[in-house]
Order: sequence, then structure tokens, then C-alpha cells
Amino acid sequence: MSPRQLLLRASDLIGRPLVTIDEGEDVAEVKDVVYGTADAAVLGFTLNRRGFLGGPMREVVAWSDVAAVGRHAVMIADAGAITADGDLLQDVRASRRRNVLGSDVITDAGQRLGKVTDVVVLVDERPEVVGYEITGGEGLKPGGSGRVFVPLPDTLAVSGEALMVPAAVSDFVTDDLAGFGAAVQRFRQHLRTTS
Amino acid sequence: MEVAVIVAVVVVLAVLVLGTVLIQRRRRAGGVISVETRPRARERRGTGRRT
Repeated sequence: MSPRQLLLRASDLIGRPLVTIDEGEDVAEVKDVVYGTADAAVLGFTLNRRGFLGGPMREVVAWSDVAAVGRHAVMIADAGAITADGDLLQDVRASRRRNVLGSDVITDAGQRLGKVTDVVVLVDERPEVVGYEITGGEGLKPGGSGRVFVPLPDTLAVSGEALMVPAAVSDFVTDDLAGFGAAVQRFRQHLRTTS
Repeated sequence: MEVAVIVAVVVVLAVLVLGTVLIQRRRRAGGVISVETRPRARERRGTGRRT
């Protein structure tokens, strides 16, 4: 992992304010993190209005319009980055809007690993979903907390209501987010050498 | 009698406020959504049938 890359939980992004660089205005907040099932690329965010009484917005912001993801805010150049048009909104409307949180993870050998409690995002020039945080995994090794991080391959397989991962993943599970980037790289290298 | 009416009004208001708070929390609740991406216009240009 290069120094410019950053591993984040998706839940760290949810609720973060969206701030414009030109006026420093707090224009919305992140509601959902949206990613593509084909290549796990993070596509953008759906939004809530600011404030407790602010409900969901029909507009979205595409990742290509995000200037930076900071510790306390997601930065966009100006309010024009929030759009009610464009490919992301069409994809969100056309899809089943499946919320991954709470979904079961099973291996391609048929073993149920647990339920997704969070998603790990590698923030980079091309951000992608690189892992799931799951609980309830009975056959997984690390951790006394019952919460582990499961790395994902470059391409995702989605099967009905469950999320599918290769059976070899159980050797690369970790309970430490700091070392998770290395686990993802080892896992993907393993898949390349064995395929 | 008056006390009973006041208590009833307070209870109804409390239920309404609680319901509003719960509904609003549910509306605002976020998640991680997976979507099926469709071919973009720029990509579609290069996918014509070859003869």
C-alpha cells in the first residue's frame, strides 16, 4: 500500500458532511456509499440534507467529483458537483439498491462466514471496496471480539441474497484494520498464482 | 378529570414526537449500496460488432 492510499470503513464516511471548496459551505452529508458489483469500484454517494430534520436528497455526488476525503469532511469543488442527473444516479435507480450491510457472506465452497457489519474501502485515485468486516464467523481464526476483516478478490461475485468469496479467504482473515491492506495484497497474489 | 385529559394529551404528544424521531432516524440511516453499472456512452462507442 502506498503512503497516499488510505483504508477506511464505509461507516466512517456515512454521515460525513459534504463541504464545498469554493465557499466552504456545508451543503449535504453522506447517506450511502455506492459501489459497483462488477469491479468493486466506489462510484459515489447518495446524500442527506444537513440537520436532524433533513431527509434524503434525490441528488447524488459521483466519486469523480469528489476533491478529497478528509478526516472530518468530504470535499467537493462547488455545489455543482451534486447532481440529479448523470450515470451514477441512473445506476442507483436502475439497480436493486441492495444494502450490503447485514448480508450473509458465504464461500464458493458453501461455508457461511458471517454477516457484513461494515465494508472496507481503499481510498486512492480509483477507490475500491477491498474487504468486509463481518461478525458471527464460526470457522474463522483471529480475534476474540468476533469481528474479523475478510479480503476480497479484484472481481466480486454476488449470488442472490448472499455475498460470495473464494474459500481460500479464510487463510487471509485478520482482526486488525491496520494490517488489512497487506492481507488484501497477499490474498490477491495468492489467487493469481493459484489460478 | 382535567388531570386525566392533560396526561392523555402529554402521552399522545410524546408518542408523536417519538414516532417522528424514529421515522426520521430510519429515513436518514445510511448504508453501503451495491449497484450494477451499465456501459457508459464513451465505452459503448467501442463495442460495436466487428465484421
